[in-house]
Amino acid sequence: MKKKLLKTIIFSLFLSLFAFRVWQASGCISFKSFLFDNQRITTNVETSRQYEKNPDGLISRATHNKFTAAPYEFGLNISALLGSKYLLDLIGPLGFAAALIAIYYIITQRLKLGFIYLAILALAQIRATLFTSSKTDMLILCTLWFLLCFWSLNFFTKNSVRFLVFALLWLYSVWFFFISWQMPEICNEIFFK
Amino acid sequence: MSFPFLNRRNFFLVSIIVLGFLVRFMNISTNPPGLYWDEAAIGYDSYSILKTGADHRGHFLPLFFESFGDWKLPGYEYLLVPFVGVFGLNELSVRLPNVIFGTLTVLLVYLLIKSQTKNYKLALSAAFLLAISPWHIQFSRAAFESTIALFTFTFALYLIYKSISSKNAKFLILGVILMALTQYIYHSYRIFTPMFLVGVGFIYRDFFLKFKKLVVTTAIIFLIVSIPIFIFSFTKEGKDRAISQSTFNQADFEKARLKFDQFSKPPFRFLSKYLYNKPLYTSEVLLKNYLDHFSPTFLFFKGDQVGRHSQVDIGQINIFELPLIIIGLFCLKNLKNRKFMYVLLLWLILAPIPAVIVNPTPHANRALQMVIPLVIISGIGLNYILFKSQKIIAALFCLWIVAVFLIYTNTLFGQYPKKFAADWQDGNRDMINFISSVSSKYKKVYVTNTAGVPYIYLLFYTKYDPSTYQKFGSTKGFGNYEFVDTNAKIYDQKNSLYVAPVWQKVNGNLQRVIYDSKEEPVYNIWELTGNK
Repeated sequence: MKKKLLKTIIFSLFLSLFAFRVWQASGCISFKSFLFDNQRITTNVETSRQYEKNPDGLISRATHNKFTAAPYEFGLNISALLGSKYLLDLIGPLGFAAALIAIYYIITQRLKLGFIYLAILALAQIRATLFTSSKTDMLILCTLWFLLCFWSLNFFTKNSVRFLVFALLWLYSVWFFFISWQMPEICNEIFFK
Repeated sequence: MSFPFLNRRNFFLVSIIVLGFLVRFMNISTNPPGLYWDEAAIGYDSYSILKTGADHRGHFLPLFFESFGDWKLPGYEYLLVPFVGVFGLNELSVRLPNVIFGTLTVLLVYLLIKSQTKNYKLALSAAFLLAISPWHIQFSRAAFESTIALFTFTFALYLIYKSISSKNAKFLILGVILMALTQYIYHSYRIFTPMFLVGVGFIYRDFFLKFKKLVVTTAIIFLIVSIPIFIFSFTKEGKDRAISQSTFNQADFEKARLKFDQFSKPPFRFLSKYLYNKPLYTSEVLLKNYLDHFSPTFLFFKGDQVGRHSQVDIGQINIFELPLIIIGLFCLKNLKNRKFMYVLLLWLILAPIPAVIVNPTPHANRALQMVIPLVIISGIGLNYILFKSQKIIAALFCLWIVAVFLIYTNTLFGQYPKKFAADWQDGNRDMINFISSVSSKYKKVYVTNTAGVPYIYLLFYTKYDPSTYQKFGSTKGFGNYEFVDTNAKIYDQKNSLYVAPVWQKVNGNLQRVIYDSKEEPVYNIWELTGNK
């Protein structure tokens, strides 16, 4: 009974944190885009060749070409969406910690639904780099990351120390969202709400 | 399969060490392309100690060396003395200790893992990954104190483990002394080592509680060895650099709060002094700085953005280690030696802390100690892929490793010297070789100090007699050399040479243009004619 109550409280607090961030984000008039630019592949190859001793040599052509540059540039784009600064701006310190716990829980418990969910999250990241709808991407990613956090509910309800850690992290996250209302990693220009 | 002189295990180990040595040693005199001023200062101080027993500023056997804007710890400088004695004062001798100790760290990682897991395949995997680690290679190819400190730290840990397994107090005492000495080699270890030792003490509390007297003795030894560095840490000199780059900087906090106020509307503007307070602001900066070191962009794609610390367009660790680390983290719990697993995690968690309290972050040099737990975790992943997955997957993975390593070596040897010539202050060697060959013809040789501290390069490359410099020289000049600002009134001088920055127009006869490895002009050398 007590555990159920704790779960409800944690669930509500997560939800309130999510709602607060989304409400803050509604003031953003220009969301940051993570759209992948094909030109970067060409630029990468050209820049690398520029520093080569023998740009037309076999080694240069074998190591610096579109085939090697494309996965690097695409990976770099995706990595920005997994960066700690971006995730902190998106889901706050509590969300970040909860997401890590959730991923650990899904993998160690080998939860099928969890793996499917992680695959959906990965697809959402790829989608954000392929299509030009930065506001929708932000909302999708924010929702998916927060939903992922719910897998950590059991962790925080296990004992009172963990619940206390959760409560402190929640307070810290509210404060964190308050002072980073401009969301520098998510938003280019924002109106105060 | 058998080898004539070595069994298979040793053959692989020797091959890995040879590979690690070659990739660290090849072209070190010219790649990195120039000698950074810290390297020149370390080299000349060691030369000065060899010749006179004092550093170039005249301090006899100093415990701390005054450098440019900070104080250097003594470890690397004293270690370098025999190298300078044997190989002379040049780029090779200054960088060679790191090549040797960087390579030996590969061997130590093998020994450490083998002793703790009894799994030689895992030990070989981790040693191999360290041998080809871009992060570790980068810092083993130049005179960075962090590489020697990492070697000493790993060796000390190995000895501590040896004492635990053999129950021999000598190893523990030696290990703890070496741990204390890491604090005299690189600044990060003044924070990292004590925290790590407390953590290890906690993990092995059952063992250490059985030998209370020994633990107290070693703790006292650690404290005694640490006293000078502890006192130094609280002096003005010890705090100078940390204060100037501190995360706890009051000015940065005020700036951030003002910015917050400017952009906020009432009532938040007036609430900011309560909500935007320093402890919370600092905690936010620390949290972001700490997590920066685990960011995938830093680890796998971009690395440290200082050209001396990484290849910049390659991550600190190889991209193929991304899946290995994920697999490794989830296989960690399969390690039979649970306490070693906790030590690894402790090492990884504590490693970025010294880099977090100073800006900028992420900082590959201050957080170099992360590299060993990362390669061990990757090694667990590699071991899993090579020996527990399907052969086709293992073969494809090996191909990926080879491809990434080829791209990396091409970048390191083919592009790096050209790309980051300016970061290494390339051009000074050629400039000094030229002016020292003609300086006797001139009454005065003026050298611009716009590029930093040219005097140290002149001392270094001309192998200027340290005792003469200590008596008559200064950072403003020595012999017929004088270091000047660009607005110095020197144009009425005749029979003089002036090494000017390329952008400065000088009335005189151009003698030589000095280029760096990127073929960019760095200095113009003029003969002054006396016309204003």
